[in-house]
This record gives sequence, structure tokens and C-alpha cells, in this order.
Amino acid sequence: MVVLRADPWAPEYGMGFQARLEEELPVADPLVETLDWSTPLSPTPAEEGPVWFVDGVRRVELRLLAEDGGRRAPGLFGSFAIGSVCCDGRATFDEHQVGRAVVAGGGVMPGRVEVSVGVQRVAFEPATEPSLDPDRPLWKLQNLMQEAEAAMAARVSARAGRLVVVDGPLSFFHPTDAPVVGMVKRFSRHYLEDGREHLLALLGPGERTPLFALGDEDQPVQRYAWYLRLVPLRVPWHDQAGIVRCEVRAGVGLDTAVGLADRVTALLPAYAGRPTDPRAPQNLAPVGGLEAWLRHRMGDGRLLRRALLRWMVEGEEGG
Amino acid sequence: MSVEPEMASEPVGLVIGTEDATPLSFWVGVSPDAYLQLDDAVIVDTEVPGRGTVRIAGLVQEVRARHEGATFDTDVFLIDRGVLPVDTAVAAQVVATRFEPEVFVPPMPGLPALRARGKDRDEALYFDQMTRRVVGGLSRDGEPMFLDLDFLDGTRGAHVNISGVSGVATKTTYAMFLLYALFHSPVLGGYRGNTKAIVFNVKGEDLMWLDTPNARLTQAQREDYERLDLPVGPFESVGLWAPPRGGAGGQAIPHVESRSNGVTAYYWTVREFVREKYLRFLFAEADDERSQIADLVARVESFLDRECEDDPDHEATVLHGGYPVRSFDELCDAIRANVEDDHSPWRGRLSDATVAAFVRRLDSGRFRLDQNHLIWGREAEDPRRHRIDWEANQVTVVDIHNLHDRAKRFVTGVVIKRLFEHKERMGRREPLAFLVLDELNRYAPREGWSPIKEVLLDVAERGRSLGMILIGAEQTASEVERRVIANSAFRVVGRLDTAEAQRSEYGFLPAVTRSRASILKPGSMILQQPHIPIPVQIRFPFPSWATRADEAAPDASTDPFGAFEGD
Repeated sequence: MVVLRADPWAPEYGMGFQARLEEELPVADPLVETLDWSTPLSPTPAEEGPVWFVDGVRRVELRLLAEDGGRRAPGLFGSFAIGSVCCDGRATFDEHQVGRAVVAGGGVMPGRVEVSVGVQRVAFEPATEPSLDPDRPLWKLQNLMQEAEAAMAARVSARAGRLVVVDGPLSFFHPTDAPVVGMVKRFSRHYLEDGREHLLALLGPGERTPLFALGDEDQPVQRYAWYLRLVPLRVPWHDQAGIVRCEVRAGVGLDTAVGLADRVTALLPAYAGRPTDPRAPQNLAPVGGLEAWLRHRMGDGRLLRRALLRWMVEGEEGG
Repeated sequence: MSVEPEMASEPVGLVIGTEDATPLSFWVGVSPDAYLQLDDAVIVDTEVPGRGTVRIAGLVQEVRARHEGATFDTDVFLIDRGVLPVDTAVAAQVVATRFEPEVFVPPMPGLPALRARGKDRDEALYFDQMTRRVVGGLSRDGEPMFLDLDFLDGTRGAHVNISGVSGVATKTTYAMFLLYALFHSPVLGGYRGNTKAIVFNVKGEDLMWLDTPNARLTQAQREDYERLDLPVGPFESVGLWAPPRGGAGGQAIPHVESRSNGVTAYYWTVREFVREKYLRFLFAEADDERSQIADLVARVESFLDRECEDDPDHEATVLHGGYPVRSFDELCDAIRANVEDDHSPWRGRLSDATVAAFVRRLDSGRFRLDQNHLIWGREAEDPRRHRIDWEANQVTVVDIHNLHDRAKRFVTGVVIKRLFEHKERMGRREPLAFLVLDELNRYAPREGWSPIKEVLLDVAERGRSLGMILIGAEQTASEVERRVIANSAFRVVGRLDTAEAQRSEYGFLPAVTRSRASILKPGSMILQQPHIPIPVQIRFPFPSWATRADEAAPDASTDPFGAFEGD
């Protein structure tokens, strides 16, 4: 008989469990920490201490078609905001930063665009992408955001002894050896063979799998990763709901990676997302709060869109 | 001249744009390092194109605090655990009281709001426009609050009305505080000495100690008086009057429990009763047959006055038909005999039923006055000494708390009528006469008619020009004649019953203030005055005069331990 099990995420966010075609490291080595994949590892409760969560949000303000001497390319006006939350008994918003870009594909480089919104001046910095694929400008915006996010994570963690959890996979930008942990909400790729992936179903909250290494053909150990469960499995859910994958750079060394894995695994269940969050429980509560706050910091989308359209009309009239 | 630092207005926040700012009401986001509380005075300067700067002043009507970023009630637990980051926002709603110059525009969002201090606060509360002002209490932040004497003494308005639940609303105490502030500050100028007040003591013997300092006043309470620039002490000039005790012969001994000296017994004589036409106050009950009976009462009063001659043998009595009327009983018998006589001109053409009703009321009234020994005949020794003399002291307390209801109406009716006639004869406003009367609902009820209600209406409507100022109080304003309340320039509310606070009589209280009225502590009142468009909560200092025997300061001569001093 076919058994049907639910995914806890709201349908419009896709599925927490969804194999996705994205650039991920293809090679996995499950035997870096232990050979024994039969039982979950339950680290002892985490030591007290501050933890920082870093995240970013982005928004397309207006989609474009850029024309440059007969060449036409897709493009967009986009905004992003990145920020951090410090949880140290109290959760407080730490630094944040807002970026805006005008991106065009096909190697077309637009000029810098400055518009007035109310009494403020808002500037969109130019960026370009070689591809003409209509999705590439968005991908570029995402990259700009991740770049800023990685820089912020590195900056925060550079202050000694700080544990930083970045929402999303670690990017290739700013490859530091700092103890920055990437947390991937979406189960997008099978790294483990069926025999080992079976362990995920057995994880209880605050328990993890052994570490496994991720890399490519040239450099097989680039990151250490592990799975952990945030909340107890509930009856209607499939057994991979409520699981996140975390990763650290291999540069920190295996021992440090194991230490970080234990600490983060014991720590994160306390920050599991609110049941009211559409991506609960993987979207951690501090991150959910931060995202709402950052979205607000990007400003009102309707006003920006109107300002951009007005700028175009005025440019037409003026030119 | 530089402004003292604590007297300079200080920035407390910015006008927010997420709530509509209107000319009459706007919200101020309060900075994390500042606070605003209810009733704080706030000013905002806003630029109006072509008109320059407009200063909007107002009072804080409501303050709220909330988590921004929290969506669900349970988020607070996550916030407490340090999981969910949020901002905390505090905002205060300001209700505008004044625009200078008068351009009714809203303050622009983003403008700085300042807590008004010193001169700015005076302007926000119109104190700068009060040429003669009397302290009415302390604001919540301990600053003096003033009343405009122009609206109290009849120049532009008069009368004070105080409502509130008995026992906790401290209505009478507040009325006495107002009198104290008037009589012990220079505000009345040259008339201060001759300004008088008559106070009816309706409950307990609270007011029988006005002339004695309060020994239980703490240092902090003394400082309140200092802040108001008032001396600490008892009323300087007080006359205390109480009804006579029964069975004491010709000597009238005051019927007071808590003190033995300094109180004079009061009564009236048969002759005064006849000459001054007090009979109507025996009939001081609201009822339906009023026109017929009132007509008969008026006839009897005038026949009595006309047919009675002064008794040459005693100053308290009269002769009727050549025979002496030696007591109040004999007077009532004579009245009864005359109205029941079919051939007497006293009854005119009134029906037997009216006469019977008249006699019934006469008998019950007579019984009550007799019971309280209020009208004396030949037994009176030195009756002049026992006639209430409000000229002798600044404050005259007339104790009626022991009297039967009917006797209370008689005493208040007679005293108020005499005072009113006295002011009418004087023909000018100053010096003022204040009248403090609690339980107005009993004397000027909304329904029905009575002679006292008529006198009180006269006071309410004509007292302003005559300089007779009514400080009236009642538990429920909804039960008091509308015109008495409508003529009061100052409305004061102490603790109110929640249901009573919803009635239309308290329409001057905004919804928030109504809710506040049901949690007011003794000593706190909400004051509405003509200048300030919204009512303000105030508190007034603890009485510096005694209100009970155990508060009366023992002076050296009677202090039982005084003899041991210096050992």
C-alpha cells in the first residue's frame, strides 16, 4: 500500500524536501568522522554563549529589457538587504545593510540609476551578466546578496569566538577559515547512499548524522556537512521533515568541525521556526524575524516601482 | 535671561506617520531614552507654508507600547527566550489643546515633540492667559495646576460641581482644599478677608476640625503645599455650628460627639420662623400636589406674618390674636386650627383634600423639627447667640449630619435662602460667598420640585452675578437637576462607578478618561475647566487641617506627656 506523508511547509514555498538542480558539490565522502552510520549522534547540551544568525532577503523591483545598439537583453532593478541577529539570552538586531542593483544580461552594462523616493535619493548600482538566459539577472542579484552576506558573516565571526550561522549554503565568496556554519533549509540533493540516508529518519531533535565531506573531483574535501533534526517528528509528516543540513568549510579542520557540529546540533532546536512560519520548522525563529525586519528595510516596493517608472518617463521627456 | 535647565522643554520623541496626524490628535513615537505619561504637556513646532511656525500644544491622552515584528501572541515567549528579535515601540497619543497662531494644521510626521516645561507648559495649559489664578492641585508630574479665578468668581463663569462615589472620591475634601487655596493665597486680593464660605457637614464629623492643624501630616505631604505656594495649617477663621442636644433646658448645648468646645448650637426662634417665612422649608419635599399645597403654604406664611405681633415679653416668640405663641408646637397648633376652620380666610377656596394633605405634612415636619430642637420659643435664652452667623468667620460649618432628612432640608433651605437674600440685598458681587453642599441629588433632584431646589436653581443661575458661588457635590450627576450642573464652570470627577461613568452627564470625559475615572485613588480627581479643552487628572495635597479627632494636633496644654518634657 502506498503511504502518504505531509511536508510541513506552506505549498507556495515549494517543498522542504525537493531535489533541485543547482550548483552543488557533487562528491560526498561519508567516512570522514566515523564508519558507523547505524545510530544518530546526540551531542551534550550546548555551552552558553552568543550565537549570530546572518541572513539576506532580495526583491525584484522592476523587470527590464535592456537595449544597447540593437542588442536586447533581459534585466531587472533589484534590492537586497542583509543583516544579523545576536542571540545571547536576548535576541537583538545587529548590523544590517541595504543594496540595490540594476542588472542586465547579455553583457550589457547599464549606467548607475538614481531616483527620488519622497525626500530620499535611492541609487541602483550597475551590474551585468554574460548570459542571455532570462533567469540570469535574478541569479546575479542573488549572487550580489550572497556576496554581501558572506562578507558580513566573515566580519561578524572575525570578532573572536563568535559562532555564526548563515541561512543558506556557504557561498564561494570570501573563503575564510572562520567558524561560519551554513544552514540549508531545503533538502535539495541526495548526498548519501540509501543505506546511510536511512539514518535521517532515525534522528531525534538535537541529534545529528556523522560528518561527511563534500567536494569535487579536483578537491574532494571542501566542506564538512551533517544533517540534524530540529523538532520531534509529527505523525502526518514524512520522516525528512524538520531536518536541516549544516556545513562548515574544511579549512577549519576536522576536529573543529566536529566541535562545531556538536554545538550547533544541540543549539538549533531551541531556535526552531515558529509553527506559524510557512517554512516551519526549518526557517529558524530569529531568521524569520530578521527576514521580516530586512524586508521592511528595503523600503516600500510600490513606491520604488513608481519612482523608477517616473524616472523613465522623465528621461524620455528630457532626452 | 536664561531659562533654568529643568524648566526648558526637552525632546521626547518624534511625530509618527504610521497613524494619521490630525490637528486635534496625533501620535508621538517616544525615544527609547525618554518617556511620556498620561497628561504630560507636549509641544510640536510645525512649519506652515506662508504662515511661518505654528506651535501645537497638547496633552498626552494615551500611551501604548508594543513589540514590532511579533505577529502572534505566543511570540512574546520566544522573545523572552531570546529566540525572536523584535523592536519595542512606545507611542503616545497627544490631544491638541492650543495652536499658536491659530492655524489648524496637523504636525508633520517626523517633527520633534518636546515635553513642555516652564513657560511652554504654562502656555499649553493656558496658564499664561489666566490673569488671576488659584491653585487647583498638582499635576501627575507634581507641577501646580491652576484654575482661572475669572471662571470661579462670576466674572466669566462660576460654580464648581464635583461627582464621585462616596468614601473614595474625596469630594468634600477637594472642595475644602479649593476653599483653603482661595483663602490662604493672595488671589482674592483686598476681598480676601471678607470672602465667606458656608459649608454643610453632611457626613460624620469630618469638617468639625477645620480649625485644628493635622498632626499626622508627613514631610512629603508638607512639601506638596510648598510646591503650591500655600501655607501648611488649619483654616484661619472657622465658625462651627451644630444642632442643639435635647433635654438641656434653656441652654442650647451643641450635639457633637467628637469635640466638646469651640462649637455653637444653632436654632431659630418662633418669631424668626414667622417673620422670615420659613414654613415652606417644612414642606421641602418634591411631590405632585405641589401647586395646591405650595399655594396654601404661601397664604399661611403671609397670614402668619400679618396677624402675628412681636411678643413684648420674649424676643423669641409672637402674639397671635392677643395670645402668646410660646413654642413651635403652639405655632403649629395655631396654623392647623386656622386652616381647618372653614370660615378662616387662611385656607381660601382650597379643597378639604388639599388642607388634609397640608396638615399631614405639617404634622410630620413639625415632629422632625421638634425632634431635633430646631425652633425654640420661650425656653430660649439668648437666641441671638444661636442664630447662625456667617459674617463672624471666614468659614462657617453647619453640621446637619445628625438631623433627620426633613430637618436637613429645613436647615439647608433656610440657610441658603438667608444667604441668597443677603447677597441680593448687597447688590454687588464682591466679597464673594461660597456655599459647599454635598448630596446635591437630595436637594436639587432631577425629578420633581421643592423649595430648596428652587433656591439652588436661583443660586446656580443668578449666583454668578450676585457673587454667590456654589461648590456642589453628588455621588451621581445623573440624578441632579441639569441646570445646576450646566451652570458649573468647573466639573470635577473623583472615583466614578463604571456604569455611572457611561452616562451622558459625563460626556465631557473622553473614553479613556472615563475608564480612568473608575480607578482613581482618593486624593486624585479629574478636572475639567473652561480654558483647557480636555479634562486633566490632578491630585491634591492631604488636608493640613484635621479631619478626625485623632488627627487634631495636641497642643502643649492638653498633651498628657507635655509635663515630662525637659526631664
